[in-house]
Amino acid sequence: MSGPTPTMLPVTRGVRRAVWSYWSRPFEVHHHQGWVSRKHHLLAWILSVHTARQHYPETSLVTDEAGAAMLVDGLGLPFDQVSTELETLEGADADWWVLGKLHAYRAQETPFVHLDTDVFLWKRLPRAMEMAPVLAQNPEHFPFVGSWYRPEAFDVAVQATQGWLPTEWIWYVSQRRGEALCCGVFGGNDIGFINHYADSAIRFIKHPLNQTAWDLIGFKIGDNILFEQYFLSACIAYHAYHETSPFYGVYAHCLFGSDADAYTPAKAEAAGYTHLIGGAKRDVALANKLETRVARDYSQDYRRCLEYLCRTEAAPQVQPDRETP
Amino acid sequence: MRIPDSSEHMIAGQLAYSRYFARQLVTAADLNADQTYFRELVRRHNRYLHGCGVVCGLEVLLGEDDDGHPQVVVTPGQAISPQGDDIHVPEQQAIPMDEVEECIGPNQERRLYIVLRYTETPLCPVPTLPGPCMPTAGLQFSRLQAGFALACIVELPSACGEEPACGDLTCELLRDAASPDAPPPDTATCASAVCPDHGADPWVVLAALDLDAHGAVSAIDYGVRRRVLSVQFLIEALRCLLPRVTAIAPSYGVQGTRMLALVHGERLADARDVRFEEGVIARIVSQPQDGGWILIQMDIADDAALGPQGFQVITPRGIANSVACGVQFTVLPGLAGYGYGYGYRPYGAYGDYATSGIGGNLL
Repeated sequence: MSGPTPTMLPVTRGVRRAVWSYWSRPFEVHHHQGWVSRKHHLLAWILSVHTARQHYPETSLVTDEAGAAMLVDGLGLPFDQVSTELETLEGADADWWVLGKLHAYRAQETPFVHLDTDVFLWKRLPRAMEMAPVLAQNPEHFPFVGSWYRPEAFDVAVQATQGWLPTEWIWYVSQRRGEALCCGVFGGNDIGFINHYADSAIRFIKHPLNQTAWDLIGFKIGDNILFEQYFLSACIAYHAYHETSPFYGVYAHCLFGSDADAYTPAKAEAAGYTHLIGGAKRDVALANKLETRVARDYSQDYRRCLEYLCRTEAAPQVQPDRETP
Repeated sequence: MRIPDSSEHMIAGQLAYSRYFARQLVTAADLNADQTYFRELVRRHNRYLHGCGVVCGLEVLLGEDDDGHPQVVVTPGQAISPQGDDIHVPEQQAIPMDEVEECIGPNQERRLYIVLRYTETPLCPVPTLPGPCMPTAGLQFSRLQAGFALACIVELPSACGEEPACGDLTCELLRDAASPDAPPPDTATCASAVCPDHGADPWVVLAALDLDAHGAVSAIDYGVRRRVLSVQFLIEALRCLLPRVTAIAPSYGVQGTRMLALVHGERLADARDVRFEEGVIARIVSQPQDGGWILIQMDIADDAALGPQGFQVITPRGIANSVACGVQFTVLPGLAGYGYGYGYRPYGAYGDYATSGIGGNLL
């Protein structure tokens, strides 16, 4: 005797969607300085979206009205979904540029991979990453004391001003842990956890009791990664450790196993992954290669980009290489 | 046989010590001269550098003897006499109340003073050899034992002098110039304008006893007691009075950044400033009334000196020097590109891949 034939449920697990986010105000206030020119910023958008959508045909953009006007109306990038949820950040401190990303993370309801504008996926992410609760670019290890991350300084600032600290942060900092997760790509399948992490990070930044600390710290643009990358690592470590957590057992699968792997050209090539991290965005040779690549592979988008720039601002600042069409 | 009196042990004038030479006939006078010289040095040192009064212990208490009779008890302790003699009381002493009441004079004073003095007791008599001036053998004490005597008296001794007013002391400490026409310092109030008197009065006052109509002690007054504070006591007192830094958190900062830090310590209340070395500017943000910590905002210049450095907390109670307390703040190297606004690791940390990013060659 046989029982009823089991229903074959559709396989919903696994990352099938690529997401980008763009909060226009931080870019206008300071982030544009990170690129050789505004044109190259737009060219990166073109290349990032078009390379990723070859592997993840479902694409989403979380932005504000100005961002949608630039990326969708101006460049004509082919997103399947466009959300202007970041309009809710009107009035927020643009120094907290990471709020745009965190809001985008929190808004996701199905597995996803979020890509930074300066990330180009030449290959699809490994299947294990796509199936993981959380995915990220690579772990970053740093000395707890005297690093580009400075959790202790923020911890003291908040405590001294009677601010609010998330449980995961308190637990992680008390162990003086010096590990973060670089989020050039970030996402995963455990939407509940990601929502909790992003929501906690947003609350951490926006909490009224913490504003005194932030005001006193002053320049904090470089510290955004503390709330995105360091706090992400704290959340994963905390919930992976505590059996009573609803996210017990959560883990992150990274594209690279270490900082060193990520910066090893052969390994980046094997992974089919480019991230114009940090100063790479201001490197003229790379900027020219970026322009050449976009002009060659996505000529219509390239032309649309130039037209958009002509309509909206002065001429491009860097001339492409000779072979550029 | 003559017994020396403690009144002989007053601080003397000119001092001389023996000078020995070959084939010298050394007499008792020569040897005693040396003792006298060094003992007088100690007395002067005690009296002029430390003062006169109770150093420690010598508490005056009320108790009962084994038969239940009331008595005044003096605990062990140490004092310096008005003449500079060390007075050591090794064990608890008791004065029967009967003896105390006998101190009451014909005027029926109700206030008595328990006092202490230095004594010397001759010991160990030995026969002397006959000589031209002493044809028959006699006895001489070969030792003098330092001791003490307790008594109660009705007149307050003044050998240790009056305590100057605190205001006078302060002005005197800070006095660094005076007009030629200015009158000489008032020796009655300026403690160091003249050397302290060391008159014939040998007593150190331990306490005053107030007796009621029935002869029972109604109060023990220590206000009449002069004290000689030991260096250890003064150090403890300073430790309890002066501001002190115990920690700073975080104990490090990076060139070219702004940060908050908590300076932990004791008696830091009402701090006016926190001063670091060149390149680090601190501003006090908040501090509680109890003086337990100060929240400071620090701006570390791009070219601030690297490495550990001390800092000072300036308070109305004095200046707390962090280095003296074993606390330092360390300035770490500036991170090239840090704070440029992109939230990424400084380029320097990427080594050779600073400009190529990750997989830049794939473009």
